[in-house]
Amino acid sequence: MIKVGKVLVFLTTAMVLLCGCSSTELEERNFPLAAAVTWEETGGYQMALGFQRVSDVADQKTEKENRANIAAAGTNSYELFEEADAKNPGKMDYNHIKALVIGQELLFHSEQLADFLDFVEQQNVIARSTLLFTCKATPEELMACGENLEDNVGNYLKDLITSSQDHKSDAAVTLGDLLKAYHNQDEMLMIPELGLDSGQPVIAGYEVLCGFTPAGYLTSEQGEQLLLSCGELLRYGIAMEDGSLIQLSGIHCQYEIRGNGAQVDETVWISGNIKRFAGEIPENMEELFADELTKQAQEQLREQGIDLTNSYYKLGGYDRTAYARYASDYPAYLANLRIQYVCRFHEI
Amino acid sequence: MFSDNQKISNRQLIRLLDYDALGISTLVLPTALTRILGKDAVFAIGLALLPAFFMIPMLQRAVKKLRQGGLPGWVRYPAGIFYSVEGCLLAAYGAYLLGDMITKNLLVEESFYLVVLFIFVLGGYGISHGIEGRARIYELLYWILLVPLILMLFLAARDVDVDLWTPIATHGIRELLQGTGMVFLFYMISAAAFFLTPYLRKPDCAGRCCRKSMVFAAGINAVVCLLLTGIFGERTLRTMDYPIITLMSMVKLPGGFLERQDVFMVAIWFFTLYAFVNTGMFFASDLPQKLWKRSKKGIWIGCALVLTFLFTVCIYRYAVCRTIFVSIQYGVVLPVSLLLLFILCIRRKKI
Repeated sequence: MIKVGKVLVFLTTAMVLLCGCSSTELEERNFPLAAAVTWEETGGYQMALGFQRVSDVADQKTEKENRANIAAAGTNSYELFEEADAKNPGKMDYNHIKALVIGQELLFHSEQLADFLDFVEQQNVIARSTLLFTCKATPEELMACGENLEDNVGNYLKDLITSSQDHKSDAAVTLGDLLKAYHNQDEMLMIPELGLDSGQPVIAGYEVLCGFTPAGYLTSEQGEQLLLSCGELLRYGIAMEDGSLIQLSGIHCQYEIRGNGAQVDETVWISGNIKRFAGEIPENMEELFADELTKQAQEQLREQGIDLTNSYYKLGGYDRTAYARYASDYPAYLANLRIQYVCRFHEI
Repeated sequence: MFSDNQKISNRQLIRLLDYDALGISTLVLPTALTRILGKDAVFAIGLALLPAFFMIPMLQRAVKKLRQGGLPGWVRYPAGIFYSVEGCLLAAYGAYLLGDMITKNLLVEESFYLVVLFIFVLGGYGISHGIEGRARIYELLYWILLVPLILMLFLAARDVDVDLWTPIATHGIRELLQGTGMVFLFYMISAAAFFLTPYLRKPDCAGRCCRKSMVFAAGINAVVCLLLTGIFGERTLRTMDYPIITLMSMVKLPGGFLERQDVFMVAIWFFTLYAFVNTGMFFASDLPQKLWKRSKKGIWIGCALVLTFLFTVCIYRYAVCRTIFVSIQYGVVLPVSLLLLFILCIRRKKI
């Protein structure tokens, strides 16, 4: 009898203490699916959040008012999220955000971006697997274009990236990649830039960060070359000057990085299967393509200081002497880097 | 159904030690070791096995002499109280980590003090019924926890970039010894096997169990360290609190049928840390009870709970207490333990 009493007391105490679940009622939470953040000299941080349209998922309205988009501002990241939390009834749950768009003003101000990333990381606000974009438009303009879409902005942007048949699944840039670039300071990160085409977001190009410093801009074609050089593509379409269309698949990349005094010579071997879609495959296809890739890579190094092969963080594994020379000097490494491509294709 | 003789088998002992080693080491060691050794952390994990294996025969010999002749009172009582307090400290640190993880990942708005209080009440109930019941539960749950963990680590390996592991051997001997010493301290958690020899069906096998547990701890920590370095990179890993938990939330299961598997995976560390807290509190209450045989066990369990709770509150509220805890392990517990071991090993007859 005493034992039964002890068990009852224990169970009752446990039920009383297990009251944490009361704060997680789904009806009391708001789940933004997209977030756009930027920074202005005068206004500080600006953020817009896009939500699921309730009418899309429910036949009747919920008891609380649920707006499609909300905007918030703050002089620092803490104030920004506090205002966002205050503007909508219920508790915000940012863990379901599918796409985070960082405005170019914020991207080009490393100090403010670092402050935002520190807050997001320490407070565990947004999941690391959230897809990352950048754009020139203001957060409100970007979220407003959700009116022109069949789905909400978050799902639309997620489908924009994940629906690609040519990219490997881990080629998508995420918030975790940006946090990694922020801490490691030795990687190149290519963030898709969103443009608006007939009111709908499209990927217009890529903003590149080298060692967490804005380096330049790449067009879609140049971005594809970067992904090819980094082994992130499943398929790559090659349009030759004579009008031939060739598809490269089964792509495999190998690298060799060797120091030659102050200069660093990198050779990238690209191998794969080629298939003709139109025209004829030139006999010297491998040399032509390798020369074109080499020319593009050298041009980007010279003009924008962008390494299309993202080789800096790999240096330690290939040449310790060069690593010791350029360990904390990414710009000097880029200035002394020479890239050469070699292609080996098998026709199928 | 149970033998109810408060005796556990070798396999149960290994499970118990594995839980203790797995939870706290995989949570804390990668970040702490990377801050000292960077990409060379995995070498310290392997190297630390050498002194650990060297210690095992000495511990076996010491325990044998203890069973034959015992210790004189002027050594026995202070040593018993010393290790009892050490048990409270270890339990407190484990409870701090567990409470911190629960309030950060699960019950975000809940009070830390309420969470750890409930953990200690549960822990007190667990140890009040002896070691046999706990060991049986650990044995039953072992593969239920370990199989998903191994699967997740296997899936996480797809995201590893081996270039992030290089260059290697960029740190000096001093850092290597410092890192090895840190890992050696974690391996010594498995030496708790020798405190449990009175509860073993085959006490002479304690050394073998300890060795197996250390190899398990080394293996799993090496894999975790390599995965974390290969996915996050050295400098990112240095800044992270619980990188293994972050990794569990990032792994994508094939098929995409389960997206929030991290919620289940975090439970592995909840359970293993709870086991670690239980082990600490068990020693904190069991050792005094063996010294003062006529006293009631419940009194020592109550004292252990109160003391451990106070230590936990201090560790949680004051960052300096965490530093003091680490300093105590290096500066007091390790030298005193080595000294006691040395005295026991060289002692020929009763003093």
